[in-house]
Amino acid sequence: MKDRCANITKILERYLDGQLSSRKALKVEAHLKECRLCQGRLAELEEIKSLVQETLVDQAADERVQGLWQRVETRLAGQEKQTAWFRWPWIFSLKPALAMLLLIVAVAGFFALSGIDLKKGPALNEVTILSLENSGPGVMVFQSAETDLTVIWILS
Amino acid sequence: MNSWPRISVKQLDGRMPGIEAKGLTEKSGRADVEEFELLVKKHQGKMYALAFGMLHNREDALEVCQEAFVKAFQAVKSFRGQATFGTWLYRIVLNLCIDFHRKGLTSRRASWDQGHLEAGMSIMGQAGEDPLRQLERQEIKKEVMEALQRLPSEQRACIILRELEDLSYKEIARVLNCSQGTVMSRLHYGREKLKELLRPYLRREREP
Repeated sequence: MKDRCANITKILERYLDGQLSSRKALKVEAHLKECRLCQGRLAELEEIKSLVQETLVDQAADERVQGLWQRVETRLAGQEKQTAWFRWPWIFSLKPALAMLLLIVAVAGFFALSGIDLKKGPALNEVTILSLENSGPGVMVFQSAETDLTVIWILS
Repeated sequence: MNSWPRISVKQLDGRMPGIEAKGLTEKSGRADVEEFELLVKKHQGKMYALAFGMLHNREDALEVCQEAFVKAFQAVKSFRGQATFGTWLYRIVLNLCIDFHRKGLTSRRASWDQGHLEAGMSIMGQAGEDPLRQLERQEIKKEVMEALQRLPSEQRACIILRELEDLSYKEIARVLNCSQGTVMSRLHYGREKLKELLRPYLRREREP
């Protein structure tokens, strides 16, 4: 009997889950009829199963689930909008144009700040470096004698 | 809207012997948002139940489900049709739940709050059942949820897929990408642990 109990116990969970062939299921049922110990084991498994089922079914009932599609749709629509924006061809043609504009502004700004008269066409060799000192980690200072220009580099 | 991928619900839903063979390629396969809505509405309840069982928090579960459906929509082309759309979705939800845990994004407070308890009580109360008995049952359910959270995530996933979704061992193995033997082993150890944790609440323990 003990041997038979051990064999049945091994497949009791599969019986509980309905995962046994009908032939094996009949064997289990025949044993259960005459074994109170295995009946008790099965009853315990069934109780755990029903407790878990009841709890999960109860907990899974949430009205907000009905609004899930709206959330998904909003996300999908948002992504579509973003994708479409980056898909526009003019964005790509604008990038080099924007870079060129920034370069022009930077060069013009440098000359405006340095006071160099572009009409005269000043030679770069007329600008002498008064001092170039390392003022600490990542900082360099340049001073021009002619224009009283001081440039500070902060290097990262 | 028209530029979204279009694919028919009939193709996505149910068992498909190879979606790619049916012409769902990058060029021709386009899912339609209205059709996808039907799929979401069909599967949302089960996906939410799975996510909630895994995360034990309502808002986190909703967030994971939302993310899962968005991912499913985007990755529709990678769906090979070897399993049902539901099985594929379960896998996405489970992976997201695991990521959620790993990244520590889970809300600290579990969703089993007093409000829910009271709501449950009032509904049950209307049915004319003994309020004390109802309170006791709610407490047991709370303990069951706590016990589930104490299981390793692989065991918990197996138990939820089996008990709540009623999936066969074969289907669970597909979702979790493991063997049926592993599924049986995880179910067994998970149940043993639950038995140990819930012993004070089992009928035999309560009734002399």
